[in-house]
Amino acid sequence: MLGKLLKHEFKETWKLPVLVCVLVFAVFLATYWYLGNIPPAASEDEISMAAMMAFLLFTIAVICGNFALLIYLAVRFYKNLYTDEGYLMHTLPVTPRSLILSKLILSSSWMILISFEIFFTIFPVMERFFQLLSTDPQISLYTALGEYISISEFVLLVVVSVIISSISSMLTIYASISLGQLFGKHKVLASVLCYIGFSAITQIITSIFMTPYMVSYVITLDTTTAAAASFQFWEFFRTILWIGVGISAILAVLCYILTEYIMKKCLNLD
Amino acid sequence: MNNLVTVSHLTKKYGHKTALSDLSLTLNRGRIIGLLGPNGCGKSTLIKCMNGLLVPNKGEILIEGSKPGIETKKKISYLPERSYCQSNMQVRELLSYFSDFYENFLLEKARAMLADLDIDEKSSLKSLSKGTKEKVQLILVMARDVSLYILDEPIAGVDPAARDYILKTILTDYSENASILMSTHLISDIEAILDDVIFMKEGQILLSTDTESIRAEHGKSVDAYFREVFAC
Repeated sequence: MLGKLLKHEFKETWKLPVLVCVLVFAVFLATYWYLGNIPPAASEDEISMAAMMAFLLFTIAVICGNFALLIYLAVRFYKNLYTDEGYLMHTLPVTPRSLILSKLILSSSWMILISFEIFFTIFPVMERFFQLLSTDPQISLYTALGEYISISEFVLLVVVSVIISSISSMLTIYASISLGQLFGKHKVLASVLCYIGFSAITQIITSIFMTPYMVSYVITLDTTTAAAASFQFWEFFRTILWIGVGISAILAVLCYILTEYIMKKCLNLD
Repeated sequence: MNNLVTVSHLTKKYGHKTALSDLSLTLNRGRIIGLLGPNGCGKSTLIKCMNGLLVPNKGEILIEGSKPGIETKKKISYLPERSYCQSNMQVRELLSYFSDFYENFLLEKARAMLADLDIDEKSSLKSLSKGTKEKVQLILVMARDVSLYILDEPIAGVDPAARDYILKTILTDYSENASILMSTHLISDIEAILDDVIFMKEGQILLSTDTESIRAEHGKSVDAYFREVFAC
C-alpha cells in the first residue's frame, strides 16, 4: 500500500515543487549571466553596487523558494491528514506508518532536491561575485576551500547534512502539527507554538553540545599566522557541522516516534 | 454469528464535555439501521469511533470481532457528513483512487451509477455543485462490497429526485449479509427503508428496536414517535 500512497501523493503534489525548482534555476541563470557581464572592480576599495544587488536578490529568491516549498509541504500534511481530507486518508486500509512515510519520503525528496539545487547554484554565483570584488583574476573559491578541507569530505558533509536536515525538518513539522491536533481549539496556532518550542529545545541542546568545542576553539586559537587561524577555524566548523547533523538525526527519530504515536493512539478528527 | 458490531461501555469526552457515556450497542447483519437523535447527541462521535477517527476514552468497539484498524477499514464503507475528497481531483481520478486502495470497490457499478445520475467522469470536483459532490461521494461509498456501510447524513444535500434514486440504490444494491447504519434528520424520507432504529440522547442509547415494533406499540410512524420523544 505504501507504493500506492506514494503514487497518489506524487500525482497530487508534484506541480508546485517542480515550479519552485524551475524558478530557482531560472533566477540562478539570470544572476550568473548578469554577474558575468559586469566589469570587475578597478581597485580593492571599489565595490560594485550592481553585483551586490544581484547577489542579494539571488539569495532572497533562493530563501523564498525554499521557504515556500517548506510551507506548502507542511500545509499539505496538515490538510490531507487532519482536516476534512483526513476522513478519507484515515479510513483507507493502511497503517499510520504508511501514511507518514508516504508524506515523508516525497516531502524530504523535494526538500533534498531543492537544497542540492541551491547548493550547486550558489557556488558558481558566489565564485563570480567574489571574482568581481577581487582585483586578482586568479582567485577561486574552490581553490581557497580546498586548502582547508578535502573536497571528498566536503561533499560527504554536504550530502549527509542536506539529507538528514531535510528529513529532520519535515519530521519536526509533522510532530508539531500532530501535537497541535491534541488541543481542543486553535489547533493551527498550537501547531505553530509547538514548532517554535521544538526549535528552541533543539537550539538549546545543540548549544549545550557545542559549548565545550567553542570554548576549546577560543582557548587554543593560534593567531600567529592567518593560515593557522583559518585552518583551525575550518577544523572547528567541521566538528560543529557533524554535531549538528547528529543532533538533527536524533531529533528526526524522536519526532517520527511522536507523530506515529499520536496518529495511532490519540487521533481525534473534529 | 449474527452480530456485526458490538460496542461495549463506550465513553468519549471532549475536554470536560461527555459526548458518549458508557454506551453499549449491538448491530446485526442484514439490517438497515437509522441512527437518530437531536443535534449534539453523539451520533457522529459514535460513527467516528467505529471508523477509528476518534479514540474513545473508555470501552471497546468490535467489528466482526476486530477492533478498529486496517482489517475493519476493509469491511466498512464510510460516508462522512463533510466533503472528504480533494476538490482539484476529477471524478475519474477518484474512481482510480478508490480502485487502487479498496479491493472490494466495484468500478463498473460506480460508473453505472454516475451515468444514471448524469455525472461526467471528466468533471473536477470543484466544478460540481454541493449536491452533486455529495452524490459522487455516496456513489464511491455505495460501490464497495463490504459488510457495513456507515452513512452520516447521506441525503441531506441532494435534491428529492436524486434522493429517491439513492434510497432505491441503497435498498437494492447491498448484500443480505451487509448492514447499513444511517444517521439522518430526514426521518420521513428514509423511514420506509429502515429495519431498525436507534434513538440517541446525551451520549446514550435511549431506544434500540425495529421499526415495526414502534408502529405496533405506539401506533405511530417513526418520524412521529421521534418528534414525540424529542419534543422541545
